[in-house]
Amino acid sequence: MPSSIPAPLAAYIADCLTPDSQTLVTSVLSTPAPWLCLRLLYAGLYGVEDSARHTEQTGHEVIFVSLLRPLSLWTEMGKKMGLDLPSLLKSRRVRYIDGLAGGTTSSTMSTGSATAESDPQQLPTTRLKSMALKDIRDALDGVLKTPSISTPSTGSSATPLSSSTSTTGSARGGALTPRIPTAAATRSFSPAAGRPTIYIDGIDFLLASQPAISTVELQSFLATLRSKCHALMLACQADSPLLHSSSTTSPDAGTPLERNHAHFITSLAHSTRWLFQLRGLDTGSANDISGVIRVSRGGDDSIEFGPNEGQDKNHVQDLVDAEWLYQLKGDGSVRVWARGE
Amino acid sequence: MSFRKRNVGLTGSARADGMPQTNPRERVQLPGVRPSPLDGRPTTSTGTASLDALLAGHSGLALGSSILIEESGTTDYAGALLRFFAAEGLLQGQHVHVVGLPEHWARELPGAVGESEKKEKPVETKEKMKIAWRYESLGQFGASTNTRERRQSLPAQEAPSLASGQASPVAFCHTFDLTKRLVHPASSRMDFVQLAMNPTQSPFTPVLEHLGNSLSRSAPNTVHRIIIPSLLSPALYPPQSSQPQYILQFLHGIHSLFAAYPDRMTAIMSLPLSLYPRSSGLVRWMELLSDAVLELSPFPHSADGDAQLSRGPTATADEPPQGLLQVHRLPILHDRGSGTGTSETDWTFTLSRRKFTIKPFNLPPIEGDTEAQQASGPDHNGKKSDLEF
Repeated sequence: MPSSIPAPLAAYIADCLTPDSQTLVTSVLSTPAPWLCLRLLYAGLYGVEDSARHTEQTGHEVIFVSLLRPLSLWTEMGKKMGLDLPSLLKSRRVRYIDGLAGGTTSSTMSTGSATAESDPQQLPTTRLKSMALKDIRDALDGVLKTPSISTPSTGSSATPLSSSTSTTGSARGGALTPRIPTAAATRSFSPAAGRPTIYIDGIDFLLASQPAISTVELQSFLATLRSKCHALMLACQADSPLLHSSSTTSPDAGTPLERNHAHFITSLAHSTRWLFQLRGLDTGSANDISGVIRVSRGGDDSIEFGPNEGQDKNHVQDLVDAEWLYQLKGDGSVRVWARGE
Repeated sequence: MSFRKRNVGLTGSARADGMPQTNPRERVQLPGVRPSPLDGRPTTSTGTASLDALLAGHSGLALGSSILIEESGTTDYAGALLRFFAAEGLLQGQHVHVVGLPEHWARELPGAVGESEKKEKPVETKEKMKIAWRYESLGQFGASTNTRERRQSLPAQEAPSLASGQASPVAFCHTFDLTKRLVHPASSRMDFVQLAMNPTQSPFTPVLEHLGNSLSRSAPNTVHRIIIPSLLSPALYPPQSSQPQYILQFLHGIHSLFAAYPDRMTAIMSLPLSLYPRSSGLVRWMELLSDAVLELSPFPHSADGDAQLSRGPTATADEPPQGLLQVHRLPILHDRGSGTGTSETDWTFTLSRRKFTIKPFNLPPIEGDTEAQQASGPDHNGKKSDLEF
């Protein structure tokens, strides 16, 4: 059974999970990034390799902030690749902050950033009060502060829940794909694993839709966040209309939206460890190719000179910038191959 | 491969997509909705058969997705697509919301070419075949009564099959005639939402409020269609609406509604590209917030060409394309990977009285080559007539 993470990407994705690292995934209109986001998420939960020991070894909690895409999309795509998001949400290994829940005007939304756990059918997600940066910060702080599965207060209430989900998870996992690590592995997850991995999809939308937020403000928010989590992963848009103002020389070129976006993405790229770029084929489109993925080193190389320099450095040096073609298939699998292969 | 049991169906990819499979019965009850042939997700028709066919093999627009149609120039081809979309929704008994337009737009919707009209022709021809040729002129009267009886019996036969819950393929997408006017069904629900003109607040606030209210109040088997014609056009929209905080938050709000009411609504909008070019960051964000992005670029000379050619008897056979249609993004295929992609991104479109046709783009023969073509034309015809003596 092939791993859900494409082999060429595995080493890079594993390196993205080193502590205090930041990863940036950029995409364009015709090549959205959800498949890659879910694979990064999967790696954060279970490790890159598809063996049982990894499910116990690694395993940081993941806080998943989705500002632009609905949970149904993530669930649907996750199911196809062996990531059972509903049961992960119930067992609180993944905590989901829903950026699309704030816009509706119905009365249930007035609870703001409280988790909606009362309804058993509803998955425990955190709703954003609004898309304002302050509310997102509050929601994230709330999620970071709320006791995770390890604390006894929620542990007592969570035990029957998670045991039930583990049985359903394994039953469902058996029906779908046998390689879904069941929630039983979740229970052995040690509380000392510490800080969660934070994944934010569409953070650049804040900058575009709220001119009141300055680039610096957003950057400082992300820097604070990065200090609180194990690894920070961001998905942003890098379409040429959003970036072209950075290539022109005159400072007044482009609208404020374009200038801010270019500034934001560029500075993010400089502070990330690895940069995953998705784009369409330059030569047009093809039936059997979804797009091009390019993995390149970001500006952040500080970790290479960390404490365990020797092997880490060698390991990191093995990884060079590379570019592949990829194809996203209907069954949720992704084929990644080099040109000419 | 030769050792594989032949009778076992390959259902792997379809099963993996569990969500639409779990409650198919519920989905069938939605008016004008049928499951996608590829993965079973519920889809509804856009009212334009060739546009349905373009949507990544799902043969319809998946519920919960939106189409953005961009058009450059001063033509209104996108408007025709939006009218078809609205008329289809009304005929399917879906709840139609139109943003920013006055109510008389409803009266200008194209009428459907009736199902009975379509059915009649084959019946009549069959009847003709039965009558001996020498009695044909005499038998006109009798034959017409005969067909009339047939006509009455046809709907009666069809009614039970429709009532049994089988979505008939004919009813999924109607054919519309732009010269006719739609007869609104008695139960049709159509709302016209007006924008707020107050410059200090978002013009889209009342729209989102209206949509949220009507979605939360409506019955769970109601499908909603949102139609937003010429978005941000200064003729309809106040000047502040093109500020990113208003328009982008509005589109995000629509997405929130999609997320809150999954599989209950679809949206279509058109954007004048001459005012908002694709090279601007704002338009790119609007595209990113839509599930399908199509661009219409009408050919500049098309108006003259139509006038000349439509007079000729052969005009209906092969109409010249009126513009280029480029596909920038398709729903479901691009973000979820489910669907059949084609390598084509360039298409041509032709809007005739009855339909909006989308065909693959083929370069026409070079201008100087017309003589050769005309020379070959009569030759070909001559041979044909020689053969058929």
